[in-house]
Parts: sequence; C-alpha cells; structure tokens
Amino acid sequence: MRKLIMALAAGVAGTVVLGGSAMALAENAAADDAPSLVEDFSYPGAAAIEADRGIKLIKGDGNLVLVDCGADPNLPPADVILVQTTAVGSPDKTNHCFKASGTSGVLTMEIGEVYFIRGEAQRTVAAKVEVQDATPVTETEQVDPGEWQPIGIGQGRGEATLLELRYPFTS
Amino acid sequence: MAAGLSVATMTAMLAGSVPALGVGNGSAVADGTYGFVAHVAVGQAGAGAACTGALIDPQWVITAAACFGTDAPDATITIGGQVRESARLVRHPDRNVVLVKLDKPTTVPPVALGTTAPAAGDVLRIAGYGRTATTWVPGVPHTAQFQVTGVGTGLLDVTGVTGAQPSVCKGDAGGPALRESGGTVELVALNHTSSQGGCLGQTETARTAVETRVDDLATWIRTYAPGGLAEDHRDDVTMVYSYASGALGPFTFTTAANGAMSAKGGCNTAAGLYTTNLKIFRGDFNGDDIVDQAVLHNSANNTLSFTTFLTRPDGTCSAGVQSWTSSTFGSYSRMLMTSGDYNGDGRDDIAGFYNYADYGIGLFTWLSSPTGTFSASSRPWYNAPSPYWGEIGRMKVFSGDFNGDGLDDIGSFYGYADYSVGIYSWIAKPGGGFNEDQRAWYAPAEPYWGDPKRLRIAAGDFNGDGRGDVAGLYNYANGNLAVLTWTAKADGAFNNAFSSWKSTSAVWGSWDTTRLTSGDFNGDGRDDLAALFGATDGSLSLSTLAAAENGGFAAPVKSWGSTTFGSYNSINLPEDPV
Repeated sequence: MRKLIMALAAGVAGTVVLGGSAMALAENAAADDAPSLVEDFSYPGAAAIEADRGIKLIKGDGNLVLVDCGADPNLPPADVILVQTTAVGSPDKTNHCFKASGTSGVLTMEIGEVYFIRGEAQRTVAAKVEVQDATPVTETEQVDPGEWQPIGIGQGRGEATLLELRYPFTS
Repeated sequence: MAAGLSVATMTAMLAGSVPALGVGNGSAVADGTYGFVAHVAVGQAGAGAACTGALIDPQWVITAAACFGTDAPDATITIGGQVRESARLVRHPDRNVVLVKLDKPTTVPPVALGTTAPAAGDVLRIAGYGRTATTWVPGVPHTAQFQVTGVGTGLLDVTGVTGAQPSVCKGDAGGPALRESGGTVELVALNHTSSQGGCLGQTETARTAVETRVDDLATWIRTYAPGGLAEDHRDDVTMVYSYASGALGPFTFTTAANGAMSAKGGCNTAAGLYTTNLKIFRGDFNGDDIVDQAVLHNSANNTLSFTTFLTRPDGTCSAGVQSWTSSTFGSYSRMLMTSGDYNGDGRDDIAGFYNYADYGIGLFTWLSSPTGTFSASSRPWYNAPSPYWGEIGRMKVFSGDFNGDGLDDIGSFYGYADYSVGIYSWIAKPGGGFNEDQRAWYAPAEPYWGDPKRLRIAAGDFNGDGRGDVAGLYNYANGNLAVLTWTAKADGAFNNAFSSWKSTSAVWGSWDTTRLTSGDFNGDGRDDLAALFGATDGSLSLSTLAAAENGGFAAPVKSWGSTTFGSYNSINLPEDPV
C-alpha cells in the first residue's frame, strides 16, 4: 500500500499537499504497520537472545548490557559481571556476561539455575534473586568487585533465578 | 517544490560533506549544533519511557504525544545540558503531537517553525536521542538525512538517503524532522513510527519511517507556545492600584522581548469597596500557569475577605471573585502575610502569621482551589505564649522553595532586641503543613550587621539553581544603597548575604520611594528584581535589575515610566510588608 502512495506522490510532486482517499489509506497503513518509536527500555533483541541462550532480558536503562564472555566463558575478563548457571549446555551458552558503564545501571531479567555471580572490577552490584527455599524468598545479594558470590544452589539452598542487576548497590 | 529541484537540493546537501549521519547508522551531533534537540524522559530510566523533542520557544518543547501515554506523567527534559521539569502538557486533538511547557525557561535558541508543506523528493534531517545500530541509550542525539517519499494530510513517509542507510529507532519518537536550506533550519515534522530495520537488536530490514507533519500546525502551536504575553517565558510585574474613590485596579505589566513593560488592567472594581486596609498577593492561584493577583481586605466593620483577580493570557485581568470571608478570625493588624505553593499542587496558596494578644503566634494557610478561590484557614504551626517565640513586628516574611523539593517554604527575617538579625524558615512537609521553625541564617549583635527595618526584601530563585533565595535593598545611614542577596543552600538554610548593585540616594533617588518586586523578567531561568520608583516630580518608573549567575544583580535598566499613571503611595506590591 505504501508503494502505491509513493508512486502517486512522485507522480504529482509539483503539488504541495496530496489529498483524497489514497492519502487516508497511506496514513492508515502507516499507523498500522510500524511499531512505536517510544523508548520503553525493553531489552534490544530480547526474543533472539531468549531463543539463543534461554534467558529473558526484560528492561534496563542501557548501562548494563549482555556481552560476549570471551575465550574462557568460565573466567571472563575482569571488567564484566559473570552470571554462572547450572544449566546444561556449552559454557558460552550457560555463562552470561554483562558489561556495566556509568555510575548507575539497572537491568531486569529472568535467568534460572544461577549458582555464582562474579563481580566486575569496580562496581558493587545488587543482585535481586528468587531462591526456591522451602518457602520461596526474593532477596538482594551484594556482589563486591571481583568477588565470587554464591547464589541459590551455590549456597547449599534451592534453585535461584536472577531477577535484576543494579548499581550502585542498595539493599 | 518540483521533483527536479529537490534532487538538486539533495545533491547539494550531500556534497556539503555532512558526515554520514544517523539516528540508527549515523553520527553524533557536534557540540553546539542542533542544540534545540531535547531529551524527554518520562518516569525512571529503565522503567519509564524516553523520547526526543525540539525546543520551539524558550519554555516549550514539542514531542510525540505517544511518549506520555494516556495520563499526564511528569517528565524531565534536557536541552543543551539544561535540565527542566514538565509543567504543563497540551495535546493536539488528532495528531501524535504534544506541547510540553517547562518549569522554567532555557537559554537555548529554539528552532523555527516551518510553514511550507514538504513535497516528495525533499530531503529532511531527522534527529533523535534513540537507539543506534550499536547503542541502546547513546546519551547524545544523532541525525541523518531522509528523503520524503509521500505526503499525506497529517503524515509523511520518509526513507534514508545516505550510503549506510539510516533508520529511525526507539527513543526517537517526537524527534524533529528539519528542513535545511540557505543556512536556515526549520521544523516540519516529528518522528512518528518506523519499521526500525538496522536498529540495535532488530531483525526487521525495512528502514522506512513515518513522520507526523507539523508544518501546518504553526498557528495551533503559537496559541500555546508562548501563548499570550502573560503566559510567555518572561515574567511580568503585578501590582494593585488603590484609587482615591475606594476602587481597586489590578495591573499586570507585561514584558516585551526588549524588556519594556506595559500596563494591562481592565477589571477595576466599583468605587467605595476598598477604603481601608488591604494586602495583595501574587501567584498562580488557579493553576493555569498565569500569575494572578489576590487581595486580603479588612473592611471598615473588621470583616476579612479574600478576592481573587485572575489574569487572562494577554495580561488583562478578570473581575474579582470573593471567597473566604470572616468577621471572627481576628484582627488584621495582627496578621503578616505571604503566598506560595505550600502543598505542591501547582496552585499558589496564601499563608500568614497571627500574633495573638497573649503573645502566642500561629502560622495559618488558606489553600487555593482550581478556580483560584481560597479555602477556610487552617493552622499548621503554633507557638504558645510560653516559651515566648517572638512577634510579627520584628519579622519580614517571604516564600520560596528554599530546599528545592518542589514545595514552597516560608521564611522570615527577625530583628532581635539585642540588634542581632536572623532568618527563620518553616519548611513545608510533603503531606501538607510545615516543620518546626529553624534558624536558617544569623548575624550576631557584635559586630553589628544592620537593621532589617532598613531593608526592603523580595524573594525569588536569583541564581537559577531551583532553590528560593531572598534579596533586599538596604538603606545605609549615609545614604548609600546596596542590593544584598542571600542564596539558599541545599538544606534550605541561607548563605551569608553578598552585595551586588550599589548606588546612593543622591544618584538613584530616595530609598523611601523605592520598592522591589521579583520575577524572571528577561526569561533566562533566573528571577530578577524590578524596582518601582516614585520620583519627586510625581512620575513613576520600573527598572529591571537582571540577576547574574551567582544571584547578584546588574545595574537597573528602566523598563517603564509614566507621569500620568498615578501616585507611588497608591500602588500596592505583593512584597509590601503587611
């Protein structure tokens, strides 16, 4: 439909404004076709990431983003946050690395079977996790720079799902 | 514009070696260019929404209505590093367009409004703070050139023209589409929707976008932004004239771009109504973002009443509406009054101290309604006769948001019997009411600071930091005059005063016929002072003392004068201490 309109427009480019029902069709088509341009902070390409890695990245302020863990996904560079899971799969799909920038950042997510989070070099990060104890609890773990923080099974407790990473740290 | 011409234009623009730009797939704008492009953040980063807009007036931004959803949440708007809050939204009835009034003006030059329809083949530059091909939240705007491929009655179809074809991405909603020719830049459309191919994380490949036309909305836009002279980004002087007949005449002195002021009235009361004491107030009492006036009148039979005179967009006033009235409240001579938005509802309220005969002292408020009338009084603060707090005869009250929390607070100078001087503050509480008074500034008896009775004060945010300051014209015993400024600290206390403009009674004229009032008369985001002066020949004048970045003041520049307006002593200013 848009093609038709473009052709019409080109045909009468000398006129200032096109009128008539064809334009109404164009506007309807445009309104129906294209997605909103409002930044809703939903993670870019989240569906593809979920299909690829089985994790849901939901919303963030843009300062915390998923990055490649590098040659050794179990021991990535010091400047990324490493989220380790007990999920079955190759190391580059079951270790998830996040790069932080700026003085504050937030990213909500659902990453299941988390058992370790290693802090990045500079920032103390708050990790909100849901742990399947006898009664499931949602709590915030403090992940210090460079430290390996056990989570869920890593603490000898139930399965844990990481819900949010945030800095600066607040409990 | 004929197709052939627009191709030529396009070639010329490309040959101008503007770097390959992009919104998605472009480059960041250089510092100092496209400074009118605004970042619009609604709610919290990472949870709310973000868009792009364009400054079209020093105090108005245009953006996409979609950014605000169906309700009207508060937004934070950043233009050229100047951060403002949204104060008012005006939605277009049928396009994805909203005008956002900022809480105070910016000093960034706005973009001009285009009034010629784009034609197919035209090249427009599109700007936005949105996602690029590689970055989610870039923090700086990017621009790219797009060609118009179709023109509808309210929308445009566009597609990128540069080599690495750009795209319009999330976060670019409401961003400007600009016509650039012959060194001029004008706004013709706003980003509406896009297929978003090439944007970060997108699998879609189409890069077409749809723009909302605004080239035909200039009349609608200018109805609101800036609107009338009383609505524009330059504040006006307000005063009420007491005619010998007992009539009152409320006046707004609207300010032109060159600083000149002109009197607008039009709602004089009948004669014989205001023959006794009165106190006037300045404020936006009905929440329409236009400064109104109100009068507290004490009639001959000691009945107190408030009358509100709403100001119209052009600065003329509408007939007074009386609201709260009481013959039992108390004695006018025991009241000391001020006005401000103490409950943060966007409407200014009235407050006043009452000095009881038993030496108790209370702080009363009269809250405003959406029609600009005032409720019955309440007493959010009271100090019993013992321990003795003080007396209103030693106070000079003012209002301002001293701690920058969005609620106006109340302050008062206090001249102690031992000749020390202090400023007390009553900080407004978020749920209503006030905290206990705190001493916000103090000068001990030795060394002698001065006499608050020799100081005429006016309150405002003189350094533009979002916190309410207080200034005053001091009359030294030797005839010297100086303007003093007390700027507010983050905790709502005040720094020591510093002086800026100085003169003498021989050069300037008598302090006795000089009064101050305040407002952002030059529209730079900082409140200024205006001095009302009554000369010995009976003429009147207003002069503006523009505030500097530190909250000091430049020398007065005459903005209005008249030999026929009336007498100095018949003018009531809101700063008058009654």
